[in-house]
Amino acid sequence: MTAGLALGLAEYAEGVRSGSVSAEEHMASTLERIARHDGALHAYVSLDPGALEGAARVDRDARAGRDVGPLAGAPLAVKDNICALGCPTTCCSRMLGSYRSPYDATAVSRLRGAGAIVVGKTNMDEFAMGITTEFSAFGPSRNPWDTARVPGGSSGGSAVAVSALECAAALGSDTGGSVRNPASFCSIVGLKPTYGRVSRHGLVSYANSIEQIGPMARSVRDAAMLMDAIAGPDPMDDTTRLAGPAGGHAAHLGDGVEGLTVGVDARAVDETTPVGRAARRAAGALESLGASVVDVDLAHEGLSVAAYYVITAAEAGSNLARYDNIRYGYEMPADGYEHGAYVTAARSRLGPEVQRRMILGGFVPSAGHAGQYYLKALRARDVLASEADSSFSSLGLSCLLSPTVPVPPFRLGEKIDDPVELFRMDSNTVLANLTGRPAVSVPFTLCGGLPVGMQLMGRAGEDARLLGVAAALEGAADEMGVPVP
Amino acid sequence: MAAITESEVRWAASLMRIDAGDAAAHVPKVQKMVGYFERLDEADLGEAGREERAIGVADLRADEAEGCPAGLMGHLKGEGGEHVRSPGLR
Repeated sequence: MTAGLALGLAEYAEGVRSGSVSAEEHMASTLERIARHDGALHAYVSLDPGALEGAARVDRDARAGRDVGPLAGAPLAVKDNICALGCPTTCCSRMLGSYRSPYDATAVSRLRGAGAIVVGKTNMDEFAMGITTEFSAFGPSRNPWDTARVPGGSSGGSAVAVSALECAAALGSDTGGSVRNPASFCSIVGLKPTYGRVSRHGLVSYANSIEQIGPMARSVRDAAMLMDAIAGPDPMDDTTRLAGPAGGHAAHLGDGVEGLTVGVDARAVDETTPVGRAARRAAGALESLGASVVDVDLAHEGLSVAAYYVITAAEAGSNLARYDNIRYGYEMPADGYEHGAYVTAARSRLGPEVQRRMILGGFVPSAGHAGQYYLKALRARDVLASEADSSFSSLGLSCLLSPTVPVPPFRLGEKIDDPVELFRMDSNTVLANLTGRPAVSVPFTLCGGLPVGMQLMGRAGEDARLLGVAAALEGAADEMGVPVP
Repeated sequence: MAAITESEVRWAASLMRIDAGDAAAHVPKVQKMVGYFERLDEADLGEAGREERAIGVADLRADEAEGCPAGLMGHLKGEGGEHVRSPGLR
């Protein structure tokens, strides 16, 4: 059964159009697989009961010769902080336990327009604040390679669903690595597009100046297909000023890396560790395909994680103000409360990590501390952007390679009590968010039987060229197979 | 490293309108996080300031009320038959 479910999106859609693949049977197999495995993996927090009927409609349209779109009824999963009409959008928080989206996010409506069917909403850290899914109010997802280990986060449910063939591909959101980190931990491809490439309309805001919706897929080609569907200007999000690449996001997939220069982020590659050695091997693979490889030293990179957490805490503090139980929230009698006390009482449903980030969000930009933390973080962001720009232009880099995460997937509960240890897991991913650049995680190898992905960070606006290098690296990666039979 | 006190945690929590509950329980983690951020204060990031851009209140755009499909209003809280759609991100 897995062979049919593992089809690439293009092959699947061609099969539906020609009649050799039934969208309804494919959807039924997907739902059956979810029923069989998701009790243990917990990728989904809700399923759309109309998915099977939607797939049957696609088959009827295909038989009648009508256009079924490039995604032709493919079952896609959507992270639970992205609105899908009529579906629950809880952000895996008790605060939004009964909220249903009254509209589609632009990315979701574009996927539906391309023929995709939303099969369900996926688990995540509450309001995307975490990197393991352990902060989900619904409980954690589990890594399909070893269910005692975390799948990464915050888009962990989406990564698990894609990796375990519980959907064809998925959407996640990436604020500091939340698409790439779980992609690396679950052996799939995850892209954080250039800031402004994909509309954030309908994404529940966490840190507006940094986050992007991104595709999570089993191959670079599938990720490019999703990007073709979701990217481009949107009148509902004025930060989407970037038109898509000529020829689409798959235009450079066959270009190879001959003549390109790939930087290796020297500070991120510790060759005393298996993951660091894998990164050197990945660089060597690109070199053997014709790329020039040079080490790059970004002097202020050590500030990126601190700058990221300060900026996101301040932006989250502002964004979470809307959960006042008046505009958004749950049923709670107001009798006996004055306004402020009511809001405070209602917010007791926020989980401890969200409460901690709100406390930080109140602390770091406040009078007396802003100069020490928030303004310094903004300054560090500028310095990092300028440092990256100058390295890319002086060395003629096409992209910068590093391990996506410094370690393989770790055990559930292993790091949950140490916030700084969790911060360090973001050390290679946050730079792309702070600087607005695109970055992709490509599954590369197994270390001790656990997946390890490599990250490639590209030039802003050159997402398609970045995917071209990613495709070359994908071709040189070790064969890993499907983690769940 | 600056020490974070229970009263500072209570103060920041009150700014954000959350009940810190046992504020002392938050202190160790918040202390660790803020301690990590101090590398920003210690770093030499040069003197150049950021370009600030201020927009007057009168120049802010207004949110626009938009309709939504029938039958979905029951899912919204206290909006009396009409909701304000998520505004464009301008």
